[in-house]
Amino acid sequence: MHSTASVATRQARSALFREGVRDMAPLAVGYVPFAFVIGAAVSETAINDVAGWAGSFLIAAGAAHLAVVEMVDNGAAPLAIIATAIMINARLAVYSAGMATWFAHESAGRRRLLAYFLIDPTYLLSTNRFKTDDPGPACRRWYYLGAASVLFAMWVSAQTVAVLVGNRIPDDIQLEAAAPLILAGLLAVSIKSREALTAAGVAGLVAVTLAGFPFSTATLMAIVIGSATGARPRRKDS
Amino acid sequence: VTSWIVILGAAGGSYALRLSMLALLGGRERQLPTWVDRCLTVVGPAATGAILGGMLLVDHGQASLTVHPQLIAAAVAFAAVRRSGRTSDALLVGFPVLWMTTALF
Repeated sequence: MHSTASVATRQARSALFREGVRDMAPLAVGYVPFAFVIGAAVSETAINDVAGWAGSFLIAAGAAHLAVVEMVDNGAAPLAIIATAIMINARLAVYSAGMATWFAHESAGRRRLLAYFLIDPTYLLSTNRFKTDDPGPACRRWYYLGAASVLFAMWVSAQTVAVLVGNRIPDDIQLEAAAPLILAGLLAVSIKSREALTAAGVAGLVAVTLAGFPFSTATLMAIVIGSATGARPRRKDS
Repeated sequence: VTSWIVILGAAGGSYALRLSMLALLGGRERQLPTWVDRCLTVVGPAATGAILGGMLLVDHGQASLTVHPQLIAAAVAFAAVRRSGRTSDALLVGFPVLWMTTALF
């Protein structure tokens, strides 16, 4: 039998989990066209279909996954392919540092599980929620896991369908626009200080300026340069 | 075989990156230099700005500074959420703007 306190805790946790699902759902739908592009590329190019499909939940990061699929098709050396994927995903180490603050009270085992789901949408949505309305150290993971579950379920099932039947999404509904629209909305609520505004503006500028950089390192460099510029000490601070 | 090697290699590398700082910093009170802490507070907006820049102003790996329906819709969505404070407005306002501007372009 559970005490009333633990029942209340469980209800709060499941409410947080459902809130994560609800907040992520539209963003997850926005990533479906991207999942279809990758799935269709897996079925149409040289990579082994099962290995390429397994990348949806093993690599679990679209840009790196697509780069791997395309480089296998071009006959690149395996080490070069792996190195490229790691360069593209280097930003995940930055997210990992950001999340370490919020999950500092979780056990090592739980952090290993939470790390698996770390990717742009889960990081951005969760840190935004924790900053605006922190559920507390014991409950944060439930929001994050709710958001992650719907994103990963959508991502893997969309790729599965695309590997099997090819890309069948009609172009004219522009489903893929959901992702930039939601990110624009997320940006609107996450800019609460001049530091944040500078960081976002500089990062956007760097990402566009360095767009042609090798190994898709533009995003990583944009995040690093943007946050360093935003957080730089200003004269009035000293 | 090559397919599995590269998928598993990329997967292992990606997971190591995801776990890296969670494993190194987590589990105890952090003792990070102040400037790292300051940077981490703005990583979210920086990442959002970088990804948006890549989605809206980069085409096939090249900077592409043209006005197009998605860009307009994203700008309007930003303004709408900024005004209302409700993130759901991004889609409720953004998609109609996107479809209308697409029809006009």
